Amino acid sequence: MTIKLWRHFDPILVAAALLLTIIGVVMVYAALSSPKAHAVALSATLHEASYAVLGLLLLVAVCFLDYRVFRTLFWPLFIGNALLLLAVLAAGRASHGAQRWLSLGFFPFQPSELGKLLLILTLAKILADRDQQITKLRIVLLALLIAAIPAALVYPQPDLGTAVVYLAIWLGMTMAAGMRVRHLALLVVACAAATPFAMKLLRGYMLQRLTIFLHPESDPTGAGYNIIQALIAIGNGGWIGQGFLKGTQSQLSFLRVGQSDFIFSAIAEQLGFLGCLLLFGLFALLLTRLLDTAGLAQDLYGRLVTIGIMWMLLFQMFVNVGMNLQLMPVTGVPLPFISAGGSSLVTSLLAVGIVQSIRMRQKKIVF
Amino acid sequence: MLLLAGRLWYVQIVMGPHFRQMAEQNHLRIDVIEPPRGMIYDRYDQELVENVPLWTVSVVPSDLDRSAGDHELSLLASLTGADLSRFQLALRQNQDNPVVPVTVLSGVPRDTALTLMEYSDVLPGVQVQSRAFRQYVDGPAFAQILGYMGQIDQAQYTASLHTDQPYALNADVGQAGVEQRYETDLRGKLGHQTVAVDVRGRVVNQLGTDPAAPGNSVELTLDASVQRAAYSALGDAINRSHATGGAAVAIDPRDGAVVALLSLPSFDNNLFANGISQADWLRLNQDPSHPLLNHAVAAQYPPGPMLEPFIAAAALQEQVVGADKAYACPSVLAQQGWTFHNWLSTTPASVTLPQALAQRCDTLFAALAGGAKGSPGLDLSGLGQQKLLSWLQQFGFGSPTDIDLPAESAGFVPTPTWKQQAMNAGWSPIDTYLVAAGAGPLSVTPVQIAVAMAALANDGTVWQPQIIQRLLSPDGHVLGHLSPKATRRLDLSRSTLQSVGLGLTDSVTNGPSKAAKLAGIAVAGMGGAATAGSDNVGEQGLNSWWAGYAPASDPQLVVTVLVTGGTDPDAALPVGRAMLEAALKPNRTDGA
Repeated sequence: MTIKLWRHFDPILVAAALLLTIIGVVMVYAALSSPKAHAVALSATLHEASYAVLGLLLLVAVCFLDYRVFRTLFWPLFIGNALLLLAVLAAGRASHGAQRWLSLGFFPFQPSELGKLLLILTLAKILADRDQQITKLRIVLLALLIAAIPAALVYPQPDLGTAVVYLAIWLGMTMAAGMRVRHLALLVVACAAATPFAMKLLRGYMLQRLTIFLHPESDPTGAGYNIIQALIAIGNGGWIGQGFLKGTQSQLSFLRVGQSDFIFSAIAEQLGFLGCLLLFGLFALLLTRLLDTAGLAQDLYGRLVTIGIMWMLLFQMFVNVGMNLQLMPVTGVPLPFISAGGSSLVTSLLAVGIVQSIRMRQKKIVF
Repeated sequence: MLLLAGRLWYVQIVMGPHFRQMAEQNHLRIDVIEPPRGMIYDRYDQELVENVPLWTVSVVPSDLDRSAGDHELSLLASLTGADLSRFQLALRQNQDNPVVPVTVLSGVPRDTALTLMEYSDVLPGVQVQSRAFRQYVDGPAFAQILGYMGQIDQAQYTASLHTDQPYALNADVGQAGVEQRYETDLRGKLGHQTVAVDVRGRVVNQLGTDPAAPGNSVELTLDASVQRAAYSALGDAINRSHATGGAAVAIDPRDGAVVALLSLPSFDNNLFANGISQADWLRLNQDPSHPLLNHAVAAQYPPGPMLEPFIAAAALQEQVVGADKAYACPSVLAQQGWTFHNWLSTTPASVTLPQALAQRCDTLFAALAGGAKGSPGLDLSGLGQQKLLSWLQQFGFGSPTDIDLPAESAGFVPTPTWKQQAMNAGWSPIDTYLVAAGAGPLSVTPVQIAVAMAALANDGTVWQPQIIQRLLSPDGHVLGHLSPKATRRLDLSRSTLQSVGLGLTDSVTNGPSKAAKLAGIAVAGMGGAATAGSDNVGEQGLNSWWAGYAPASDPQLVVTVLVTGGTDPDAALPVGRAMLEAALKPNRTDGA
């Protein structure tokens, strides 16, 4: 049985994820390494690598698990997610003025990252259970509620980026489940009407980030600083880049947070346009394999989970790279697999593992 | 994903060159290397200046370790013995850009600086730097000649921008004296270093160097020991006679080299080296005796009787008087409704010209200038206005000596043309008497008296006084040797010079300048007092002069001393004696 199960294991999917992870770990080192801070770069890289190992172990482990288990665990997953996010709010550890971390004994953990995956698993259950009813606005709103609760819990951390990712996951999955276009239009209109009130709800730093996105040069030494430095780093890369560990923007620390939110700029500076195209190629390969798996899934639940994961990775990648290229406002969304951050990496690898589990248990079981 | 790739192509390929240039501007910096400033030596190569490292401590707020509050600042405070609140205040005042270093301490002792460097691991936000600053040996004794280093002013800065050696906005430049006059030579050539820096401006790599060339050194004609003797003696004389100030000049009559030049009260030019405080600056500028002004060259005074040797020389040369003939010396000479008195009551009733000079028969000199027709025993026609003024001008009065120090004053010799223009009145015979008495609008500078006295001592050469002897390269090669410059040679016969010399020598051996005698060396000289002219408001009391030279038979040094606004008419004499003694005492090893 086990051997037959592994017949549908997709090595390309895992290989793409593994390559992206390796690039991520190496580039975290390349982004942090500077003539004056060698030790810091090395310790951060080892830290990242240890999460990569943990994530890969979880990826393999979850393959053995029938993904349908998650469908039966709706309430534990949903309640657990909400409790973790509440715990962050209540007792989170301060980091960069934001409380996003929980200290789980020996390693800090960011529940909002895992929350993305938990949201996908719970949302898929709600939508799959009501297969033909998604055309009803009531179900659309129910799904929205499932997404809005964790979004409302991460927003005050404050973490606008993750809240937006949650809502994007909801949008992608309900559309895939067959939400009516007019319901979507209705919600868009409702959102537009609520915008003036939402602006008041936006926290100071969020509004500033949005304003700075439109006019970074208005404050070149302050909030607009990194947007400009990121563009300079990317432009400095040219066709083939300045060379590994030779980016003046990243190595001399002109680029800030070049290991996390702005790692793409550090990659673009050191590896150039061609290196970035290679990175895009790997993402495209990964996403194609996910799309392929969605078509092979044995049930609607598996398909929705796969699409949710695909959409989660694609959306985050687009927003993150777009923000590096000044196409998007700065929202603190990581580049999946690449940006430094153990929780994000473990979540992404775990998600790939779940997709692999779905793929291995596809429609026609071949004897 | 195509959208991202398209945008990426635009940023990296289309706009690539633009951003690459910006990246270079980000991390490449050209540091200017300040060359060591040239030295200033006296004529025996004694160093008059030093370039001393000044240690400064600055803090880069963004680099501070804030993990334990102000822990790093507290450590800095305990290592330097400074007050923590002082650092906190300095940082609060410079909050705008946290990556810019804030200087919190300056003039830190070297040991403290080295200690801070040892602690650099736990003081990531602290930078210790040294820069050279100028220190002057015996500051006040040499201040007016050497000048000082001060913050560049707007005009100097703007002018330098068009040269290949521009100054930094906060540069120190020579602001007076030799430092100012020889700024270009002393400064040297700027070096440049291209460095790669990180975002905090810390140098991570040195790329190319264009080394700095040290400035050339200046060797002065000054003799530091004579200068110091003058400083100490003039200070004493001013104190003793309750005077407001004074000046002293010593010139080598053989070549016009300035051996000593001093003006008191002076100032400590070391005050300027590390940025003068507002209070010190105001004090120097508002002091009524103008310590920043070099009174030896930049201020003018009525000479009183000090013109007598020159009038004697002129009268002998013009043959309006006989060298050996005896004349009556009335204690009062009445001319044109004015009366001229002898200053001393001891003056004999009958004198020859040398005796008149030696014993200060002032009435005879009035007669030599303006005539004393009909006066019993003194029936002289006198030089008259034209010849008198012409001779005084030839001795150098009324025009600058062109000494190479800034702000020289020309003094003033009145002329009929001037009187017509300024007062709308013709020259009256009384004006001639007033000139001879060193009174009225006539004024001279101490250095003019010294130059004229040197012409009497050296058979008639009027020198342009020089304070620079040689220009030396940093490794000691002679780049330039300033040769003596004669302004003119006076047509004075040997017998004229001998008669005047005899009078001046007698003044020391038997006359009122007796106190100037030196053991084993014959000294010539004369002194006198003048009341300050009405043009010089604020100076009251007596101006005491003394001028002389030695050895009398083979003059090597001419001195002129002025003590202003005091009570003692002979206050200047001991200063002149002290200078001659310091220069000529037998155990001196003369390098020349």
